[in-house]
Amino acid sequence: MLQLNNVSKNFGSFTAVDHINLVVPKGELFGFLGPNGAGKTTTIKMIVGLYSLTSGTISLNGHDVAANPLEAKAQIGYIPDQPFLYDKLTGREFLYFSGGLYGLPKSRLHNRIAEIVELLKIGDWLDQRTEEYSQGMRQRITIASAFLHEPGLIVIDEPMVGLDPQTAHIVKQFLRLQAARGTTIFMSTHSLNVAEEICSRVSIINRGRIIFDDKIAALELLKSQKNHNFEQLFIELTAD
Amino acid sequence: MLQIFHILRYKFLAFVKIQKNLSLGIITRSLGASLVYIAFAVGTYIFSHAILQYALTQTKIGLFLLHQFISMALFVFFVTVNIGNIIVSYSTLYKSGEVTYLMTKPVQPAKIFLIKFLDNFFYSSATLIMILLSAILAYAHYFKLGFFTTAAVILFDFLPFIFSAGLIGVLILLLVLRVATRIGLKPVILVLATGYFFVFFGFFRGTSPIRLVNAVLEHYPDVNQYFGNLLPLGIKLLPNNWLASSLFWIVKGNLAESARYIFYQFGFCLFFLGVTLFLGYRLYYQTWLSLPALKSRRSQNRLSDGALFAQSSIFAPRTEAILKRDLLNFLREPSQIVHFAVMIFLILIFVGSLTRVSLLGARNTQLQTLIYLTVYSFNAFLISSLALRFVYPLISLEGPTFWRLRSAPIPAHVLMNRKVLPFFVIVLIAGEFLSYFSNYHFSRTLTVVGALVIVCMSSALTSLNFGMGGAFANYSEKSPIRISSSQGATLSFLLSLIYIVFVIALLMFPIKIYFEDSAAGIAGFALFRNALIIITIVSVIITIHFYRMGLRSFRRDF
Repeated sequence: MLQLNNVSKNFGSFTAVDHINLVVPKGELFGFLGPNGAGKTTTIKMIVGLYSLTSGTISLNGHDVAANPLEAKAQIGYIPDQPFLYDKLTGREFLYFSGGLYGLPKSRLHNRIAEIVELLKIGDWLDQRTEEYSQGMRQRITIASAFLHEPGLIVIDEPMVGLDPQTAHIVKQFLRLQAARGTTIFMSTHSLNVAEEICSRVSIINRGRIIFDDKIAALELLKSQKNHNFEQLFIELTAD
Repeated sequence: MLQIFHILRYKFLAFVKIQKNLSLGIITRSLGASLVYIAFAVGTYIFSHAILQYALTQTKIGLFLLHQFISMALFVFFVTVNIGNIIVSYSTLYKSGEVTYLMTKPVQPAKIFLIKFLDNFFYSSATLIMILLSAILAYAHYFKLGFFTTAAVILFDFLPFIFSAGLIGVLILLLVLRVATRIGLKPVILVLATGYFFVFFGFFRGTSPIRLVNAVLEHYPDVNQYFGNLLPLGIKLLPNNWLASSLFWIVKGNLAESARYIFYQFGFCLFFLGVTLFLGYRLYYQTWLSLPALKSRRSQNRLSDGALFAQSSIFAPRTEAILKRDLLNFLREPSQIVHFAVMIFLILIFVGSLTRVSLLGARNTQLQTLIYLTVYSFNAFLISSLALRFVYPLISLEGPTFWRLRSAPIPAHVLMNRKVLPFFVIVLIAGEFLSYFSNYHFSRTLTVVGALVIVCMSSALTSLNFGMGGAFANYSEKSPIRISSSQGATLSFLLSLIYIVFVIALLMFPIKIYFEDSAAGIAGFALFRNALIIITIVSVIITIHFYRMGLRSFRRDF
């Protein structure tokens, strides 16, 4: 379970995230929405230990992310919007490298790679160097590397960036499957369709504050009450 | 420890893998690069050997003065590596995508610090290490030092010496960022620059080359003995002096005395390794996390700059757009501003230390020639560094946004001229400034010759770095520091040095005759005519060739 208590982040006099509280239980596919500059990526970077917190606490299964960063990171898989890969390594080598950072034994790593390669359908080009990959290929290798150590929490920043419809479909199916297996998924996205399609709960952040947080069914209800589609509702909620 | 080896293993694997799609162009380029490296190492070796021979057999300065000059050169080398490591380690330790990636994994930040420190050290200092190693081998050959003695000097004296320079650089960076989070970056940088100024100033004041040369030459011909009593205590406690002194005593055959200095050197390095690792453990993650706050502090301070583009301009719209964009990109990248300030600072210090340089070696035309050419070489080296650091990355820094220019209706040469000309003017002004202050002590003729040569050098070196930067363009690298210390940049630097050595070699003979004729009162400008004609022709060829190379890169697929 991921828990954010009264979390704030200031950059000088600018408040990027303003006292937010969130609880994401085990196995939930959680959509974190908001307009550009709302505080989504800042929140994500605090969860994965790339930003310090100005105030508040973030805990993952009882581990305080700031106080016990290594224990927390061992349980997180992070997929950034602009993934880092070593250009000269092949996708397979990169997966072995990533698994090694989590101390996975070779035999388990072999099995995990085989399983994920099959699920994400990346076998055809896994042994090519990553410098030859398209954006979508890079994204899929990053997704694979994040799931290798079977983390309790996956944090994704814009999962569908640069993916073609077939790949996006594969990734969505994969995320659903992982959530069904008990992995908590915290997903930030601009794509309202994706959130509506696969998330079980969504939060909307605007100007650093949570302005909506409920099950996807509640959102559907709100849509029908206002006779809006999701896009119109989103614009209305995040209007200045 | 296993995790460190795991990361290093894969980094090594990524490093040693060669290009997969080997084309004739890539093979030729790689072979050319290797040849230049080898030629440069051999050239340094021959040049160092010749300098030693010239200093000891022609000018007869003796072993003590020779090693004191070596010590001074080592001091400059130490500070260069030190400042280089501060600047490069900011990019490597704090701004690299790899660090961000590793920070999200269960890896102790202290381990990341260690790995990136090593990465940074070899990345930023490899060329300088190669140059100095070649010089040391020439030294060992000249003095007929045995294999084991040479190996011991390199392993326990030379490598700890440069490692200390790098360690202190990283240490300073950690402390600067730690303090900057509290009081801001500007005052810390100002204090640091002042500190370096006093260190440099104090060193050359303390060493006082003129006083030292005069004092030692009073004992001529008995100039091979140790005149340590002429050195102030502060100078004796510096690592460059330990390295030079250990070499002096090896040559004199007193290994016990030499071992004492090697022990100091090694101990000094170990001490700073311990301190750096300790502070890295304590401060690295903390300072890394504080960077976004530092950046936001800077961006809040510059909100008013936004009006620059809206203001009217005397330039045509295309020129204005490119110049203003490049200016803002330059001013808003701290590594550009800091490095530029450091270079200007070095130039000012160098000019300050040139006072009374003409008095050095007076009455000895051989020594005067040596000093003059050394000063000139250093001028050229500074100009070359300026061009490498700021002109070489110009095309790469266009980065993924190059599409904006490439898809705009601007001819390649117009665009490139707008980009290169401002830097050519900067390099030229810096060069002329250096040249004037290096020459006016000597004579009006040398001042004019110097000014003409600098025009050729500025043009050739700017164009060379621009062309090489285009040929080895890397649009995915955002850091200008990493671009200007990449393999292509190293090659560009070596080609620049070959050109500089060529110019210096052409000037050597007329300068020597000029000083001899000056003593007889018959020196004139005509002596330099032929050398100037050759330098001009070669410089024009280099300028045109590399300018075209830069233009070709603009037409390549993006």
